[in-house]
Amino acid sequence: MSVVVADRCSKWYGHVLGISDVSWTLKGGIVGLLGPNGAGKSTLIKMMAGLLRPSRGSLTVFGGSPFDDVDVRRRIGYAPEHEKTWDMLTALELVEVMAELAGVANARKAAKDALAQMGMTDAMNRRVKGFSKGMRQRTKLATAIAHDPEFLLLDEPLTGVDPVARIDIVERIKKLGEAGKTIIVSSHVLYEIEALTSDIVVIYRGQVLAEGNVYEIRKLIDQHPHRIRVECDQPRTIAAALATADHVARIVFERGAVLIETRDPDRCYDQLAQAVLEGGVAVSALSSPDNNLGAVFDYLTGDRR
Amino acid sequence: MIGTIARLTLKRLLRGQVLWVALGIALLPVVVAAVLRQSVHDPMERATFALDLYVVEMFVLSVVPAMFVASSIGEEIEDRTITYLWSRPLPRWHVTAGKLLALAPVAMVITLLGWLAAMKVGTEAVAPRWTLVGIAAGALAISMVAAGIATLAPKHGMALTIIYFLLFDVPIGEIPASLQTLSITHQARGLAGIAMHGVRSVPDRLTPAITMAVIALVWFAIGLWKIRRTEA
Repeated sequence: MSVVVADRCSKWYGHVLGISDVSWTLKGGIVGLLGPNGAGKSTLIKMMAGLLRPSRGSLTVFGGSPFDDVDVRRRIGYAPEHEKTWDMLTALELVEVMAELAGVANARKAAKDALAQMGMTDAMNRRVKGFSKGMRQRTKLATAIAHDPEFLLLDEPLTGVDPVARIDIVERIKKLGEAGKTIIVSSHVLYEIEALTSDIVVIYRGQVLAEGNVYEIRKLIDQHPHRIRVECDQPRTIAAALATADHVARIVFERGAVLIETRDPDRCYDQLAQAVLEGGVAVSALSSPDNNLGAVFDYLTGDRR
Repeated sequence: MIGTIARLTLKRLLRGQVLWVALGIALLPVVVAAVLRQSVHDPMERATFALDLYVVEMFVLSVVPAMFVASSIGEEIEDRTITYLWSRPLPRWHVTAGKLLALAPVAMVITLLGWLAAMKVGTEAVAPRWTLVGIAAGALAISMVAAGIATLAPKHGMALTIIYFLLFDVPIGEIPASLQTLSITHQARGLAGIAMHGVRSVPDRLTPAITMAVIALVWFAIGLWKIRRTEA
C-alpha cells in the first residue's frame, strides 16, 4: 500500500500558488524533497501533515485524509521548518507533552528515549530558549519521533545546523530509515539530501519536475558554483583554511560571517568541518543560499518548454 | 487530551509575563478604592463605593480574560507553534477547549481577588456574594468571547477583544434600551444585582445568566467552527 497518494493536488493561498496539479505516489523509504525556497516543499509537507487541505484534487496518507482523520495523524511525525516553539519549556517537557498528545501511555519515558535518539540527553532538562539551532533541530526531531510514527515528515531539518551536528543528524535520520520508517526530508541544498538518500523528488514553482535518482540532477548542479555561508566567531580562520583549496572560486567576508563559493561542495563541507574542529571555531549558523539551485531549475524548466 | 493542553497552557502562563501584568491590572480597582477612601471619611458614604468600584471592575473584566485567552490562542496561531498541536492526533477543538479550561479559571480568580480586595479597601465590607458570581460568570463568558475573536483574527485577537468590550460591550450596556441585552458586562452586572442606579431590590438573576451564556456560547461556537477550517 502506498504511504502517500497525491492526485492532481493543488493548493493556493489566495492568488498565490503553493502546489499545482501534483500527482505523485510515495511507497516508502527515505525520500528527499528538493527545491529552492518558495518551490512548494513546505506546502506539500504541511498537506501530508494535515495542516493544510488541498484546494483542488486529493492527497491521502495511509488511505485517509490527514487533515480530517485523527487516526491518520497518529501514524505521522512532523518536524516543522520554523524555529518557533514553546521556549520556556525544557526539551524534556516539550517532547513529553507532544508524546502525551499523541496518546503515548508512558510519555515521559518515550520523550527521554526520543531525546536520547537525537543525542539530547545531557541537555534535556534545559529550557529550549537557550538552545543553539542544532539543538533546536534535534529537539524538533525528537518531538516528531516520540510517539514512534511510521511516517516522518522533516521540513528542512538541517537548516542552520553546524557541519559537525549536520553529520550527526544525518546519521540519526538514516538510522530511523533503516528501522523501517518512511521519511520525507525537504531541503533546498542537494548535498544535504544526497547525504541521506539517492531517492529524490524535485519540486519547483509548485510542480514536481522530476523524481528518481539524484545523480543526474547533481551533474547539472555541479556545473554551477555552490555557495556556503558560515556565521561564526572566526570568519578569517575559516577563510584561511579554505583559501588555497582549488575548488574554492571566491571568498567574501560579511559581518560575522564568511561566504564561500565552491565548485566541489562535498570537499568543501569536509574541509569546513575540519577547519571548525581544528580552529575551535564557534559556528552559529550555516546556510546555503539557493540561487544556484534556482538557476538550475530555471534551466530545467526552460529546457522543457 | 484537553487536560494535557490545559496543563501545557498553565505551565507556559506561569513561566511568562502575562500573568504578572494581568495581576497588576486586576489591582486597579484596589487603587481606585484606596483613593476613594482617602477622599471620604464618612463610613455610610463609603458603602456607596461599591457601584463605582464595579464600574472599574468592568474595565478589568474587559481586559484580563482577553490578555489570557485571546493572546494565548492568537499567538499560538501567529507564531505557528499551533502546527505542533494540530499535527497531533487530536481534534482541533481540544486545543481551544484546553486553553479555555486552563485560562478562564485563572481570569476568574484574578478578577475576583481584585474585586474582593477593592471592596475591603474601599468599603471595609466583604463583597456581596452575588457580585462575586457576576464577576466570575462575566470572566468566564468574556474568556469564551475572547477565544472566538482570537480564532477569527489571531494576529490582533487580544486588541480586538479589548476594543470590542471597551468600545461596544460596555457602552451598549449603559444604554437604557433593548440593545443592552447584547452586552455581557451588562448581564454580569444584572447577575450581580447591581443596576445603573444602585442595588436592585428584587433582581432577576436567571435572565442575565442565560443571556450571558447564550452570547458566550455563540462566540465560542464561531471560534470552534473557524478553527476546524483554519490552516497553518
